[in-house]
Amino acid sequence: MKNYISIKSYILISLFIFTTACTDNGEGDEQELITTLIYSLNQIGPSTDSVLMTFRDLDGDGGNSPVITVSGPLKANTAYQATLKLLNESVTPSVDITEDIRTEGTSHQFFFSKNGTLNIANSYTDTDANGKPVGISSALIASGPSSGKLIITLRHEPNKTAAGVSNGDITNAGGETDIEVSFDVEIK
Amino acid sequence: MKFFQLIILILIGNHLLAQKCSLTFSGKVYDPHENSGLEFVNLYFEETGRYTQTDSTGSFLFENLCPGTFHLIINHLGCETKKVFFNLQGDSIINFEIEHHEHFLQTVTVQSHRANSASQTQNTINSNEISRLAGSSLGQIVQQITGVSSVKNGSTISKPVIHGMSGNRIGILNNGIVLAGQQWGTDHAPEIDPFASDHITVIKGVDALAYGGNNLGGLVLLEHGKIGKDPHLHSHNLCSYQSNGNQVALSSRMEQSKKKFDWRLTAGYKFSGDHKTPGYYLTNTGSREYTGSFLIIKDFSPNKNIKHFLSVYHTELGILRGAHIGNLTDLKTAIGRDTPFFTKNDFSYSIESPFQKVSHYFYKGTHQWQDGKQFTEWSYAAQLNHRREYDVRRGNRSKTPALDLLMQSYFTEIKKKIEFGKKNIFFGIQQKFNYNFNQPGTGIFPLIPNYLLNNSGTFIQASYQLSNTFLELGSRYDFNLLSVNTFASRTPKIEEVKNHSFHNVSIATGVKQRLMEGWTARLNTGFTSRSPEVNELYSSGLHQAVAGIEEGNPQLTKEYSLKTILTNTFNLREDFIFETSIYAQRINNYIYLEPQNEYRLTIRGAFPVFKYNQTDATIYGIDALGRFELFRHWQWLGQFSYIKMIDLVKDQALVNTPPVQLFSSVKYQQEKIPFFGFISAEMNARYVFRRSDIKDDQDFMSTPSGYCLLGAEITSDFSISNHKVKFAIRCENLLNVVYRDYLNRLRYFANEEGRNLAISLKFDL
Repeated sequence: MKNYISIKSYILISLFIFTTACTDNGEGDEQELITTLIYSLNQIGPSTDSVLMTFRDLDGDGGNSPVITVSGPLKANTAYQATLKLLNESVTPSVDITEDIRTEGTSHQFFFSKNGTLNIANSYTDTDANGKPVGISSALIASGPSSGKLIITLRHEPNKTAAGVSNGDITNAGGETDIEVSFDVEIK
Repeated sequence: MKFFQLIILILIGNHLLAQKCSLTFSGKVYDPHENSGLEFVNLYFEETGRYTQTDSTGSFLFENLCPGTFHLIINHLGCETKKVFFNLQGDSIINFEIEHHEHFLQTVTVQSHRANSASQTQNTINSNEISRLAGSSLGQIVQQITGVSSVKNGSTISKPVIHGMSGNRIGILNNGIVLAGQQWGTDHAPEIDPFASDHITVIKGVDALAYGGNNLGGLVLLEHGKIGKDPHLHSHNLCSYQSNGNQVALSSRMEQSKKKFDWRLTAGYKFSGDHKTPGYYLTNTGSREYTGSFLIIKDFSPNKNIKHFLSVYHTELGILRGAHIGNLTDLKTAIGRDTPFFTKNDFSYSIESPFQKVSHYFYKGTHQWQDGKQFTEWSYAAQLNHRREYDVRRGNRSKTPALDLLMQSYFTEIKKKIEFGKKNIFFGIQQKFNYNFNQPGTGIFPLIPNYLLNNSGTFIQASYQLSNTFLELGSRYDFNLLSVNTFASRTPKIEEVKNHSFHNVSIATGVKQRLMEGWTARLNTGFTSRSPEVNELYSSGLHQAVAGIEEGNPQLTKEYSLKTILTNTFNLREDFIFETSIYAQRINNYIYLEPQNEYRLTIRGAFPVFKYNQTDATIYGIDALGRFELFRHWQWLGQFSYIKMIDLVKDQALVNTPPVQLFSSVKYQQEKIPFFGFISAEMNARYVFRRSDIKDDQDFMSTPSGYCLLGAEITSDFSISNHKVKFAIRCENLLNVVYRDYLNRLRYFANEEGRNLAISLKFDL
């Protein structure tokens, strides 16, 4: 009798997995995906010149290559107010991730670096709850004519108190990279 | 039928004089392998304190005993102590078999109904060894065996490697059933508590046909022993402390043989905090583990029984925060740092993201019948494996798992063994379903899609025992049907069902030959085919833990492997054993994860692309073990293992192969008092060489240099008011050496653990 019960329950279990085997992978939309970074630069002062840099990869990691655009060159010897915007455009309507970063300001920081002879200097114009920089808004000063790459990095859980980190030096920051994009920039 | 523990019971005579305390009790103690009597075996009546020792022929005699029920304890230097319950009503003769060779640490044992194993190269770790290593992981325990190493992912996660094979190619069996859910690479530890087992056996030979499936690298078997026929409730309790990580581990087992059934209950608990290298704490490397199991055996007659086994396992494992990699730039910054990022100055028990949480539920039912020369076993088993992996995430989502897999596995088999004199035939059929389902709500695209695997298998083995020769021949056939819910496109998301079917055939032959008194040779050759697993076919996307985009290849075909292993065992005197194994293996279509010469640009930076690929490979190596008595009470043990794995297409060494290792120990053993007290002190050294055949461009970091670790250990057995106590204190990495281990994936980021002092206490009630 005992054997019978065991056989029955085994068959039931087997049937159960066959019926559930047809369900799908069950995953909703990717919540933390960032597809788009928009870096907008507005000239400080009476002139309203602006430059827009975007990095857009709508299908996420892998798949199609990202589209990277820079609307034009920077003006030499000019100061710009810069704002960063992060979006997930793989869903409709698109999701603005910038607010997440602002809310969790103490555990995020943007870093700006360059290569080549690009004559730029960046400085933070915002702070988190502890008075440390975040970098959603910053200032950029373009000096003499030059060209090179501008690299924008978003670190998650950096050590903001490590040496040089609050001045924008990424060397001792640690943490995990959420974003790392680079733009070809020219100063004329 | 040969049972492991003891076993021939003949009761003769029933004298009236019995009531007057004049009973005699005599018998002989045998070594089951040599069939010879064992001398200097201590026999001890727990209730009355009377003891005696066997003479040179293995015989013993007690006189003037009173009738009643007794516990007899049988103890031989270094052996596993046996406790036997019996009811003495008349003059009795009882013969015992004890596993004498077990003090050689590793031995070849023939266990009942494991007919496939006699010609295989296999090594068993007994319960003495297991309890001595209380608090260690399965990977650390099996590393005691020559030729077995462990691949690690930091302090908390480790997996066994047998002759260079690990992961998909090694079967880990919990009481005869392959542990499901071991398919996802090195960052997943086996879901099993080694301290609930009495024996851990590693089979290094070719395919163990009766267990089948995809285990072309070998098997690790964890088995519980028989429940003693003792009507009293007995418990074995084990507690241990390890200074590195301030780990406390408790483990308890209770068992009883009742009139209607026998039962056993085990429970375990382990709690540890941050481990420490000689220079700094490995922040976030704590762990928690809760385990339990219940076994019930009902004997309907001496020839028929039913067993039900249920086990529960739950663990939480912290992962070194400083090894959490966002992209290639981070990897470059983190690699080779003296002190990893996020290293805190203080010890902590807390576990934060990243960490893993795993629950595993296991049930097995077994029905056994012995009908004359026929033995039949029917088993059915179910497993539920719930794996959650937590990452550092934005927007308060760190509390939501980044990977949430639920894997169900169902298995049934019927096996039959028929004896014809010196010939045996063993055959069976098996059916298994594995169903893997990604739990919704993680908000992250799953690395491994949902799938259903249907495996049907059948095997047959025949063995023949001549006077000095044992021959074995077997074959196995498996049909695998894999149905995967993969993705045709991610955005927009389009799912697609892909089906694969594979026919696998394995053939194995074995010869065991006694060439001379004390010299046994085993030759084993086997051909195995293994079909690709789902991760090899359909991994897709960013595997954040390894900072790479991993892509499966649905075009992969079966692997074909031919392995030969020759083992020579010299056991010339009782105190001299020397064993060597030489092996060679050729694997065609060897599946491995190949780094592509390609970086893929994403918003998180550029990542290297890894694809599953196939090549032809050759593996060969040597394992050697020697143990002998230097002087009276002094023993020396030496172990050596060498392995080479070559990719024949690229003509270079394959990465992640174990380095050459040398181990040596000197042990002093002394019986303190005639019947019980036993003390042993040991000093040991392990030398691990640099894997110098790996070129620098094959890895992120050049292979770590060789290192030498010293260890020391003192163990003692004694009894307190008739309760047996076993005490062990050991120290690992005595000199607090700073080193990195080639088989640890976190070697890029941090040093290995420093000095560790471990104390364990086992007491029986």
